[in-house]
Amino acid sequence: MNEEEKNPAIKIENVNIRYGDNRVLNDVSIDVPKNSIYAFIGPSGCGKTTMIRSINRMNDFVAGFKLTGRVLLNGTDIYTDKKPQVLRKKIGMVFQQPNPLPVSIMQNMILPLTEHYRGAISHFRELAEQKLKACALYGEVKDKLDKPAFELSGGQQQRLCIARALMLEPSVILFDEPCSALDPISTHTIEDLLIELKKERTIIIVTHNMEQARRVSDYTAFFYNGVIAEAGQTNKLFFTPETELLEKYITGKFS
Amino acid sequence: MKKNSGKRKISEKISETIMSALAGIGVLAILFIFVFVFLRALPVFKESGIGLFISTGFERQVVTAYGSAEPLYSFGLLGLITGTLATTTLAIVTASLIGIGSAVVISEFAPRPLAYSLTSLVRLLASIPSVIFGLVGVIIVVPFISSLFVTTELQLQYLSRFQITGRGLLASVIVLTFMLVPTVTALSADAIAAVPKRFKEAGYAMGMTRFRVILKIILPTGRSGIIASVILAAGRGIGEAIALAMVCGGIGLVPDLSLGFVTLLAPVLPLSAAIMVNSEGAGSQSVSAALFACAAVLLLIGTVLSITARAVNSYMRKKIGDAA
Ligand SMILES: Nc1ncnc2c1ncn2[C@@H]1O[C@H](COP(=O)(O)OP(=O)(O)OP(=O)(O)O)[C@@H](O)[C@H]1O
Ligand SMILES: [Mg+2]
Repeated sequence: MNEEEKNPAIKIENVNIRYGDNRVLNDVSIDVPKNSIYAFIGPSGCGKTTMIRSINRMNDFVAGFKLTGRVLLNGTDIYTDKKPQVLRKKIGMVFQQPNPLPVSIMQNMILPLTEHYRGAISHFRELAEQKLKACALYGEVKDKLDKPAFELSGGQQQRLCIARALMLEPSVILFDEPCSALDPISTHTIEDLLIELKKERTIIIVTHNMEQARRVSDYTAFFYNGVIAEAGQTNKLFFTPETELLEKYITGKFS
Repeated sequence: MKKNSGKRKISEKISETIMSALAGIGVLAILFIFVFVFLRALPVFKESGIGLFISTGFERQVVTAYGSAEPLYSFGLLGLITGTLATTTLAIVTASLIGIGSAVVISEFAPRPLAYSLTSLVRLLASIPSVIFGLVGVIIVVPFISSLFVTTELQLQYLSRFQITGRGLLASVIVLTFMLVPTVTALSADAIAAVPKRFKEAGYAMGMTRFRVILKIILPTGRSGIIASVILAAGRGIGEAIALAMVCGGIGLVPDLSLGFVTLLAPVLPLSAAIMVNSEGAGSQSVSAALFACAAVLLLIGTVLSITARAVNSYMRKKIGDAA
């Protein structure tokens, strides 16, 4: 166990989740080390989205959602705080469908700042440009920053959403299938971006793309039927899977 | 396969032709109404000139015109125009606040089954005939206002200018507000429900509270539909005759803001109510022309309203993009 693994950024401890009477996750424990990319993989319906959305408490809105166990961010239980919105400033999220708001590119970028901080708009715009550069988007949009964000392509919109999520300098960013609506080239651009981002942040990504999990992630958890069937370093999981289930899943012989 | 698509093309063409024909008929009908109304009002416009818009005394003028052997075409609609503007503006402002607020509560806060039954209830309310609102106004609102605000001293104090009876601007605004709230609520709730979930999630994910998401994301995104609901309500308000005729007091005074609160107790006479109240006199050539002049001015106000609303909406769309 190295230094990073001893102090995980996110620690999921014996988490059980149900929606009403429907038990979705059972006794899930995962340590996500700082500055790493952790991939959640597994067949559809096994609870990956449920798990990742419980890390920034997006499931609090769902009627019947019930979580037991603990989710820790840098050692503090996120579910003890009465105000989930404070947590969501520290943990960014990028969704499956790019979701820029129906305003201009620049307004999308500075909204998180105007929402939480006072300051000169010109300063916010500068910060926004930095983040757009960090997401390799600035060059493509610098002439239309004040045009509607909807005029961008899907891949550009998704990078805009990533850049927007960076505006609040979150220490953790959650990605739920961020590339599933994108073409291979946009997907590659975003994968490169993820690797760049993990230098300063911790990343959790849900993906159905085995190649993607193998390429970008340091750790992988294989969800199956509401439990973690296997988890650990990505290299180990993909080259010497312990369970037959995982072996079948990553080789695509799964049914 | 090929034959099928050929067939589809023909049927598409036919339905397209029918559609455009129907649309054409609609436009022609509207044009016809405008031309007809303005032609019938023409003698009044010619005779009264600008005085039509800057002088008052309509009720008296109608009585004189009805009794006179010679046709008289000189009328002053200022009191009626300001009456229409005052009642509708105030009612629209209050109805929008209440209606949009209720729409937010229904579609964002109420649990599903409750939201569903509330929506049905609101739709039902929106379809209540206005005469019933008028009746409620006469039986409940007017007595309520007079028991609350009207005293004998007040009546004596203003006796030389107008009668304070409980019927007047305030009663009109309240009744009209009741009428318009369901319209605004039902249509705004639809607009709010149509705001995609992913936009709201974008807001929550950047740490917005529920209140901020409503304010910064739901209302701006649903803007077009919400504005449309307000415009529709405004149209209904401007045109409302029966309910207002029952509670407005029937005198076309220009609201005098220097009176402060008493302005609200003073009688008014909106254009549409004036048309209704005086329709018995339409047998007289000049009274009929006067009523058509009222109608023409109403049409003008409605047109200006809808053009402004469109302009505002397209300006905002240009400025901040559109959700679609
Ligand atoms: N809002 C909800 N209310 C009730 N049940 C839900 C809700 N969301 C998910 N579920 C249930 O939880 C289980 C896990 O769903 P989840 O979306 O987490 O799966 P997933 O692994 O993300 O699947 P996919 O790969 O298809 O996205 C499913 O059985 C689903 O029916
Ligand atoms: Mg999912």
